[in-house]
Parts: sequence; C-alpha cells; structure tokens
Amino acid sequence: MSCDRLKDLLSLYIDDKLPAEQRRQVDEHLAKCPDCAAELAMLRQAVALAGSLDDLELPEGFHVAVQAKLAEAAATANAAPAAEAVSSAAPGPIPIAQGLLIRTRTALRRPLWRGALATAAAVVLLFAVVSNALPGWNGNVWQLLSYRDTQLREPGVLGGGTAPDAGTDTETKAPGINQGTDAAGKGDGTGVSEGGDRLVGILTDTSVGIGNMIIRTGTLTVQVEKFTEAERQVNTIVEDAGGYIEQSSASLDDTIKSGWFRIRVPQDEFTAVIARFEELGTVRQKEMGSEDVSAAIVDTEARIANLRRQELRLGELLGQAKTLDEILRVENELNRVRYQIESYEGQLKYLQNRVAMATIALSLKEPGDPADPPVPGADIWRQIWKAFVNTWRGIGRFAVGLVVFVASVAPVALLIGAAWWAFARYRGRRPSSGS
Amino acid sequence: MDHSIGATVLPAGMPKEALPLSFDEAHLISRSRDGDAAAFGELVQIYERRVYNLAYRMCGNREDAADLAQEALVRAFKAMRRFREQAQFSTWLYRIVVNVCLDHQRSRMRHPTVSLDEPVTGDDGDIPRQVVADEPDPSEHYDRAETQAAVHRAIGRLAADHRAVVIMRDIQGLAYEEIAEVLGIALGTVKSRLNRARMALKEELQRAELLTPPGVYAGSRDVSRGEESQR
Repeated sequence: MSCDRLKDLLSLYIDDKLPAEQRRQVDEHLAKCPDCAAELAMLRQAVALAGSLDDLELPEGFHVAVQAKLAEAAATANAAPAAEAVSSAAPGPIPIAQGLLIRTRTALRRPLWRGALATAAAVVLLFAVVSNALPGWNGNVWQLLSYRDTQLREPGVLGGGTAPDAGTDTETKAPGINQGTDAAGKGDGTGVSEGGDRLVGILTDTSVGIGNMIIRTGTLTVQVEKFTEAERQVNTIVEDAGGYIEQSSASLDDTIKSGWFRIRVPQDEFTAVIARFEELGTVRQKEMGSEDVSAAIVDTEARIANLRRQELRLGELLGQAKTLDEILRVENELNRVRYQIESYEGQLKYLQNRVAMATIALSLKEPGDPADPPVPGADIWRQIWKAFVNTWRGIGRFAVGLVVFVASVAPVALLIGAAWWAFARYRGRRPSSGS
Repeated sequence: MDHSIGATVLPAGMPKEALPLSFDEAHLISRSRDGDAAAFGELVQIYERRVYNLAYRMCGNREDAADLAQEALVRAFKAMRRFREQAQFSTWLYRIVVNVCLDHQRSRMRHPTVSLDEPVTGDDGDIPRQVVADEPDPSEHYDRAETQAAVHRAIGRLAADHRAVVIMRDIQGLAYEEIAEVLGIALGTVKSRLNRARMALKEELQRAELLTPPGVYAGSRDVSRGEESQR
C-alpha cells in the first residue's frame, strides 16, 4: 500500500470504520513507515482538539425570540385554515374561543377582516406559546384556546404540563394583560369589535401579566424642616404600605441633620408611596426608572425546566449505570446540572423579588445644607454679609488654630530647649575641666 | 462518541438509546405539522442549543449564529408540512440549519473576511465537563479557553463543506449516516470529504502550532484530553 493511498484511509482508520482487511494493511504500513505514523498521530490530535470544543450556552433572550417568531409565522400561515376547521353549526353552550371563531368566520369572506383576524390570532398564539414556555400555568390557557383537539393536550402529556387548576392560582395574581398587547388587540380589531373584545377578555382572565414583570426604582431627595420628624413619617408611610426599610443612615450630630433610606415597598404601592414622600417637604431631585425583565424571567424559567428534565434523565441513567466509571461520569454531569439549576433559581428569585418589591432611594435633608446650591435671585446683601461673616469667622478660626498649635508644640519646644541648655552647659564646663 | 443529535446534552460516551424519553416527541412532531407553534416551540427546546452551536461553528461569531439559528428554526416550522415521517427529525432540522448557514455565507461572499477572530471566552460555565485524568491546575483553565479559541478559528478557515462535516462529525458527534442524510450526499462522499476536511484541519492546526509533533509527543502536554488516542 502506497503512502498516498494510506492517507485517504486515515480518517476512517481513526473512526474504526475500515473493513478488517484494509485495517490490517494500514496497520502493516504504519509499522514500517514512520512518516505515515507521524501523520496519523497528528491527525488524531487534530480530531481530538475539535472534539474538545465546548458547546456555548444559548444567548440571553434566544428562547423567547424564537417563540415569538414562531407565533408570528403561525399566525400568518394558520389564520385561515384554523377557522375553516371549526364547524359552523354548534348549538347550545359553546366554548368561548369556538364561538368567537364561528362569529368571525362569516366575516372572513371580506378580505379586510382577514388582516384583523390574523393580528388577533397572532396575539392569541403569542400568548399561547409564551404561556407554554412557562411551566406551571399553561393548563388553563390551553383549555380555552385549543379548540381543535383539547383531548390530546391533556396535562401531563407534555413535559411542562401541570394540572389544569394551576390556572386559578395565576388568575388571582395577574390583574391584567400586558398593556402593549391589549392596545394592539383593540387597535387592530376595531372591525371585529365583538370578536376582538372577546379575545382580549379571554386573555385578561387567564394570562399571567407577563408584561408586568417590571422592576421599578425611584430616587428622591426631599428637603424637610425637621429631619427627626420626617424620619418618623417615613417609617409610618413605609409601614402603611406594607414595605420595609432595607438600609438607612442618618447623621444627627451636625446642626444640619440629614439621612438617606433604601426602602422596599410592594410594586402596587410604589406610586402612592412616592407621592407621600413628596409631601414631606420640597422635592429637590427625583428620578424614576423601570426595567422590563419579562424576557429574562421567561428565559430563566425555560432553562430551569430544561435542566430539570436533564436532571430526571440523568437520575434514571444513574440507576442503570454499572461500572464505577459510568457512575462517576453520570454523577459529574448530575452535579453540573444541579449546580446550574441552583444558580438559575437564585437568579429567578432575585428577579421575582425585585419585581414584587419596588426600590426607593430616599434622601432627606434639613435646609441650609452647604451642599445646597445658592438660590438664584437671593438677597445680594445677605450674600455679602454672609461672606463678610465667613471671612471673620475664618480669621477667628485661624487665630484659635494658631493658639492651639503653639500650645501643642510647647511641650516639645520645652524639651528641646532643656536639652539644648544642658548640652550648652556641658560644652561650657568641659574645656574648664580638661585644662 | 457516536451519540446522535437526538438528545439534549449527553455525557460523553452515553448512547442516545440509553435515555428514556420523558415526553412524546412524535406527538409534538405531528402537532407541529398541523401548524401548532406551541408544540413546535416545545420540540425546539430539545434542539435549540445544538442548532445554535452548529450555526456558531459554521458562521464563526455569536451574533450571526443567534440570527441564523432563529431563522433556521422558523424556516423549519414553516416547512413542517413537508416533513416526511420516515426521515429523522433531527437530521432534517440540521439540514435546514446547514443550508441557512451556507446561504448566509454565499450572500457574504463579496466580503470574504468573516469575523472568525472572536475569542472564545470560558463563559459557558461547563468547562469541567470533560473527564480530566490528572488534577486540574488553575492555569489549565486559561490554556483551555485559549486553545478552544484557536481551534475555533482554525475550523473557520476551512472551506464551507469541509467545515460542515468536521463540525457535525468531530464536534457534535453525528454518525456518518446522519451526516449523509443532513447533507443529502452519499455515504462514500461523506467518508472521503471527512478525510479531506480532517487533513485540512490538521494543516490549519499545525500552522497555528497547536499540534505536537510525534517525536516530542510523549510526556509533553496532553492535547487529546478525554479522548484516548489508542483504540
């Protein structure tokens, strides 16, 4: 076998895919040809290096983006066939979603309605998909929306499925639908007003306010007449709102008292609490911020669900593992998965806490704080007088400082003087004693 | 090594058959074919990480990879009606991803400098997944990230069809038959193309001084971590 011919076979040789006869020939050649053996060793290293590349984690927001794009694609492709699939004759009490589709079906013949329905369907599907990504509350949505084969989508059939009554729990904690979607549904659905409203109605009842996953923060600086009095009021306001002071600091020794508080209050009370703080005195500075973390939360939850599934599988694998090596490998992997679950759960808890409780940074100051900028248009004579007095005070402070300095230096000066005097006397006596 | 792409993340050496399926994939597929975006969304959860990684290795950088992976998944969903049950879903999906990536590269042919120099930082906290024989020392972590970046760049310099087979075979561990199905080529073509692709990769790695010549091989740093050279 020639070296060139051999090189064509090395890849298969590495993967052990050569027929026995060819394999033997390769072995023979390698034994007597160091060049080819070297070639093989290098190729093996190359293959191993490629195999050592680690997979990347999915980027933040990837899963949600995919689901949204899918919903969009489904909406354009599915609107018409879905409506056709519903029979028009359904007497007696009919499910809401089905009724909606029957009503809009007659409208479908006019092309204008199609766009509106497609938009409405996009809204439904987006919610359906997003709800599906959130384990724990897809049951109810699906009962209402899967008009074609409800029986197929029984809870438990799918990985993320849970008992249908999980929905009742979400209803209570979700007061409304994502406002953006709500507006879109109404704006585009003017033509199908009845159907459109119905649609929004369904979603309002069942959806968790996914657009409501918002972290709210506020920064407020208020100038108050009496700090201690204001501080008491702050405590009352926070307690009334069901919140708490996370951290605070006050400087009470100065003639001008001031302090700051980091306060956490329930999301719903945020605006009211800010308004009450503003009444404490003159607002000097105010900043409000909000951050939508819905995508991050949905993502994290999907990741956790995924990892839980892996954990389950690995657990089953561990039961089947026979050799020590297998057990160790599975346990390694299991530890890794569990560690990731824990860290994602930590993230989730943090986000949920931030969403549930808004954060307010409140700073209270008594007037006259030197940090306060001079009020424009203030009495010029007062400013001149103030400058004059300040200078006098400065001179006074300097005089006092000088006296204090002299006093503090005095003992050292005395000691040095005494030493010098003693030395001078010693020097003065020495020549006389030596003569 | 021959674990297929059907499962999420498998520990090295675990055959896919060993995994009990905890939910009904076939059911999800059939619902997806009816245009059920939610079912497809769930189905995709199993594959999206692998799809993303395939796109990443194909196109070289993270931003394009995310876009391409998403585009491929949406295209797959739209084409679900044409999916034949006798084909394996994973290979069918892979085929779409590879095509999307190749299209993307063709469209960028006028600007042939694909950004492949993005460093691979060790940000995917699962570096210790490989079974390491010796006690790992801290410098190894850095070494490893650096090596990975260099290997990634070397793969990026391969011709597109070579890159595809190396990624599928050596990084993602597909079987020859699966690769043939993904690329729609004969098994024999896979074998010869893989051979050429690996040779080309070897050249690139050699140029990047990542390979140890066999003379000094014994006792030098072990580049074949986790993968024993002797079979």
